[in-house]
Amino acid sequence: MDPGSDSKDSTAAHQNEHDGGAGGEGEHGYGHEPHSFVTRYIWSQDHKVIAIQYTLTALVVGVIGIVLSDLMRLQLGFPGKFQFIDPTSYYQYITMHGMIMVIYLLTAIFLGGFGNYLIPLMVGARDMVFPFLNMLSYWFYLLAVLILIGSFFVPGGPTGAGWTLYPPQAILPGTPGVESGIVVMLVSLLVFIAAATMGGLNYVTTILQARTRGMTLMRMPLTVWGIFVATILALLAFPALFVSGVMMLLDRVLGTSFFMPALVSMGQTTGYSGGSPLLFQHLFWFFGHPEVYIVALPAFGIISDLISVHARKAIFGYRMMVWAIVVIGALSFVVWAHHMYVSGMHPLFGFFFAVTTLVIAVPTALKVYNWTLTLWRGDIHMTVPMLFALGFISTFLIGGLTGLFLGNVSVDIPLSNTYFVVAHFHMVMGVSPVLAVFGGIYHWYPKVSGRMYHEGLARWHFWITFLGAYAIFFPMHYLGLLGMPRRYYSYDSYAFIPESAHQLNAFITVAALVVGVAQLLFLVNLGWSAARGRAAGGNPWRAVSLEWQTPETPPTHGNWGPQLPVVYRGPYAYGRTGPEGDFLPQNIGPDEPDDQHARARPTAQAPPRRPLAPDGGGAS
Amino acid sequence: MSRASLAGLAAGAHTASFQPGDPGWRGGGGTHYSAAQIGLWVFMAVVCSLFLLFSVAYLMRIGYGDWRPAPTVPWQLWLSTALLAMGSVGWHMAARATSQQAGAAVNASSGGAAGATLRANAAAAGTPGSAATLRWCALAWVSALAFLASQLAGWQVLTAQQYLPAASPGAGFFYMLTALHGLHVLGGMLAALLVTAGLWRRGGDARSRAGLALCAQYWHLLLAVWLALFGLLFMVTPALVQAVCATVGIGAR
Repeated sequence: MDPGSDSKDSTAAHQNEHDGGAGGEGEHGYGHEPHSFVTRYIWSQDHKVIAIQYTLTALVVGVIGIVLSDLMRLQLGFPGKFQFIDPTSYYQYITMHGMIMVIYLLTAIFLGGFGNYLIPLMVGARDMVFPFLNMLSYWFYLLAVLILIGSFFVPGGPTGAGWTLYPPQAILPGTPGVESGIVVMLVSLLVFIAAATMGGLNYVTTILQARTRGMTLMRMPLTVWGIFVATILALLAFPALFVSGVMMLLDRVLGTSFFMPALVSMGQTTGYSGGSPLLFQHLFWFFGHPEVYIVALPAFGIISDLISVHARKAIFGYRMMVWAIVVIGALSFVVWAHHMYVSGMHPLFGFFFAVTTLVIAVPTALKVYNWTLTLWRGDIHMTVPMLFALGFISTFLIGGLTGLFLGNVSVDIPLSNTYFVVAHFHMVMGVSPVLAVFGGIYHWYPKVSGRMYHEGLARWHFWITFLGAYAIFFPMHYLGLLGMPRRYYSYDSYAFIPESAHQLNAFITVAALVVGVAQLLFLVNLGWSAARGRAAGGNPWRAVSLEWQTPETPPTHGNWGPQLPVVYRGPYAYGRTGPEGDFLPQNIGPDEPDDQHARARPTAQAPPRRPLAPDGGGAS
Repeated sequence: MSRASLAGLAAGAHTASFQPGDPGWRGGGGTHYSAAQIGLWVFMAVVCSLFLLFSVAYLMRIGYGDWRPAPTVPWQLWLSTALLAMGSVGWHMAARATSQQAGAAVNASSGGAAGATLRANAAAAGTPGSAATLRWCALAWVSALAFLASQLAGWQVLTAQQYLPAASPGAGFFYMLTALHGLHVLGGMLAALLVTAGLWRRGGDARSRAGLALCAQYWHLLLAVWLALFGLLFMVTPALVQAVCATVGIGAR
């Protein structure tokens, strides 16, 4: 079949069939065309619009999360100076900050935002395979967010149980928000899980089924791999949160005793009998630990892509990177009890979970080495996305190293519940993923908006955020080693906490306020550049992967015009001679073997790769 | 860029075997399964994960001292089991009936002009699926509705015996798990409604056939989950769990 005949008969005769998997039928073969403002921007089924809806909503809740953290810091840095921050509201700030940042910001923005925008574009699909479900996913997410925010307005306010919501205290009198805040929180989580499941079904099925011709699994950008594995984790781990949420809801509403032991609360015998708070902890952390990787794996993927593009070099060890993502994902299901060393467990279990926890450092370290080796002798362009990627490596390394301390039972026990833990998890799953989010947004902003962000604002934003994050969290390691406990409202009259610790707290608060305010630079930049930024062109980073090869920028409905792209090589062909410079886009022929060594051999003894057969969609 | 892409296409002409339009390339680099089929499998994995975790919680909770033995099984639950199995059979046979109908039409069409007419008749818009398909669908629908009614009747019998959610941990699990299973049946009925409506409108075309097959798969899962839950709720005792734990070396609580 020659290409001419191909373009004629394929589009007409087979477009409908081909696109059947990518969004139903329609006049142009890819269905759900928007016909009005409402269907274009509000009840949209286009993955790009849904991605923007997800991202903007997540950024709005993220701002709420930042404000809450700054309110906490005001109390910690200047105790008693702000009358409106009483112990009740302090605990509510802690809880809502944690829950918002982990679930409603990071999970939503990585899977719903980046996943929605990038998966179809990077694998060469017209849209997600279930566009209606995708739309429903966003609206369920928005509903979950509204319910969550609604808890600020219910009697008693939001729950102050801490983001882990441990029973029995989460649903006993004395804990803020026990009246209705906790119920609202649990309902919101259940709705969020429904939203994440609908989205997750789409992401997984799209990646498995809607890849364009030539796009084998081993030619997918690592961003897609990260989101793919993270989505599988989410699909299998969120049920654990669902189970614990439903059971706690019944304990609170119907008086069952799944988690609630027989106890006397405030002099009153409760109706509960014999439940097991430990059972909740197991369920919660069976979700909670994979959750760490649900936000880390997409970040890994994004960072890999950013580094490769902006260092103009193929990612070092692509195959290894993919397998590292898969292995980390699998291991993340067998480490959960390292969050529970102080809850009490059989020493052999402690040993088992310490070993699995430390083993996970191996594939993780491989990734860090491979990023470093990608940078090695690369043509490094210190663009804003690259700055954020380098920042990510630095913060993730620090956070990962302190993870080695906390993964050991005997070291964890004295450090547990101190600021060392706060410092560790903020570096590793707070700051690092957020830097990846920023880097990713700056990187793909020109594709999404068609315009370039303001360079100066973006650089200021990076340096303040990056240095500020260190100023906030680095001293916390020291505070933790001093023994300063976390979750306390105030630290008056503890002889072991020296005056210098209070000064350090004031310093951290000032840094946190500066970093908080500096995020306005980012928001202003997004808004200003969307209207006034200079036109970016279709491929300003001269990138290889498919999303940069769309015929229109921003991509229009259906992404690819009449014909889907065909993929001839992996997503990291940098440092090669192509028609437009030192890179060869994925959709420019001829077909190449994936094995780098085979390609490098000048004699090319190896027979040409078998043309990709219909069943060649797997790892080949 | 588009010019470069076209040039690329031309240069890649030797790989014509994976050009757009090849049969078997539906959905691009995917497998030959439909997206809906893959989606259902993924969803089934999520459902299994959900009920598996509930079961683990059940088994962890059963060892505590306040556990009360389950009451006698109300006969309604046995009826429910039979009804769910009937639904499973109903969807399965409906899917089979449409496939056979389509197969017959294709065979007949290869026979000649008469066959072509038959096929045209079968595929004509507005023709409902064959009578057999509709009968099996009706059976599936009736048994799904009857299943829910029977479960509710089972609840009534147990609540009448003061076996309320807060009465004992086992009771809490019973109501929670049956309710969640019921919700999954309801969700399945929602999807089945779309499939049945399509069958009614378009007849037993390929889409309806695929839809019916998916319904059958989902109902098989619902049946399997229900059998597992039924066994868990009424047949697994603390003594059994302790015996199993002791065998594998986990100390009894």
